[in-house]
Amino acid sequence: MKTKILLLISMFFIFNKLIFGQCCSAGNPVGGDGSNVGLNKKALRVSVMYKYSLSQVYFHNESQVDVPFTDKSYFDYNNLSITYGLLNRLSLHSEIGYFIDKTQKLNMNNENIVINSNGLGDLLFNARYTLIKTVKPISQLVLSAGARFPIGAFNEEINGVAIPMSLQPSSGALKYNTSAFYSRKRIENKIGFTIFTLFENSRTINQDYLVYKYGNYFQFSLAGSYSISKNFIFIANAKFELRAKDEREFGLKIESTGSRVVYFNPQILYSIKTKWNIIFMTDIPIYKYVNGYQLTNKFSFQIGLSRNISFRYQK
Amino acid sequence: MKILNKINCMIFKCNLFNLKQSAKVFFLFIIFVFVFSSCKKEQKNEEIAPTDNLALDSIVATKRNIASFEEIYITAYTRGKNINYKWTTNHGTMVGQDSITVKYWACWSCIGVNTIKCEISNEFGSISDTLNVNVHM
Repeated sequence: MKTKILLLISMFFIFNKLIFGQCCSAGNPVGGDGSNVGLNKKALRVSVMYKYSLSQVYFHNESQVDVPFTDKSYFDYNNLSITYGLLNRLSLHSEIGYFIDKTQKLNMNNENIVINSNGLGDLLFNARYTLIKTVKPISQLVLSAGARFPIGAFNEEINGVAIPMSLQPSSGALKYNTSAFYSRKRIENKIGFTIFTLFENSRTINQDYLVYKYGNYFQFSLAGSYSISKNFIFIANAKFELRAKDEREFGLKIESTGSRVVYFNPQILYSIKTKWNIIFMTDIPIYKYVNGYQLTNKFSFQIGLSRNISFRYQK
Repeated sequence: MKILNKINCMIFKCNLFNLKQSAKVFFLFIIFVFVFSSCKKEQKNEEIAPTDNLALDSIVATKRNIASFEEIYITAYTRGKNINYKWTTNHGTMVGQDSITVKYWACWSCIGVNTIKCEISNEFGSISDTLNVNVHM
């Protein structure tokens, strides 16, 4: 039961997909499932998630700017993730997403332009090691390392014309990530907290005339949880994202890339008979600083469902 | 609630899903995705020398030096029948206007010298050519 409480509190990280703004579109979910929650040996967790994200506001540094055209970029995204406890302290995790619709709508010179795509995103695979695990208080420190493979669609086109890289379902780049996750809650308290940090490094895309390297990505999250009732948990999470500038050929830094963003993302978790878990959360940017001029995220929301299964006592 | 319980029972309490199978499912999932993605590799036509059957004489842009979000039109002049066009660029956005012309513009993150490639193909093979456009603030 205690472990289940910890897992439940940690659930919000499972669906904590990250969105980064790009000049021309809503960007991609990045950085894995963001959790690093370790599972017990012979435990399996299957999760599905749906996310909607809208980017509609142009920023120059810290300020919103008006542009002589309208630009709306959004996506609908599904994600499937599987985590398996291979050993008592070692878990394997894999996930993949599918863009149902990744769209940019522009109105330039009184002409409406719609560019959209759909398809498989990147495949994440990582290993998690539980360094510290205690029962009193309920705590867990998990370290993780892995990679995101660009196996999805990256050559989508409309009537023979390739769509921009930022609207392709796959990021197109192999990315390595490492992260640390710490969660702590006293049994007698209704309040707990979690800390999560993630670093992601991208390899250079070298495809035909395209030479592109996404900037390094760093995230730090601090969350407090409150158990409203046995089944309900409310989580207030503050998330800081730092993205370095992207590079193109000859290592040339791209000015209008890279950002610093602080999000507030409140979340509600509901568990059904401690077997099924449902989560609803939103991402609300409360501070944005972008290099140059960029289209930034306005809001996003996601809903997820997960199931933890233990095979430890089965024949 | 009843529906969820029913699904739960169907998936996890029946004998279809035991420990060994769960591990298999995990790794089969990864293998399946890899295989699925590798099957999507495109087949490329062989590049040929230009003839009257297929030739890409020139690619012409209305401007070669543009500001961000300035629109230009790029046209491919070709010879041959039943030609398929494929337009790609390393930076910027293109939208097809008609069978031989695309509209091009670039946002602020696409500033620099960008390459636009046009590849044409028919039953005789394929030919490609490129054009550079300088995009500034």
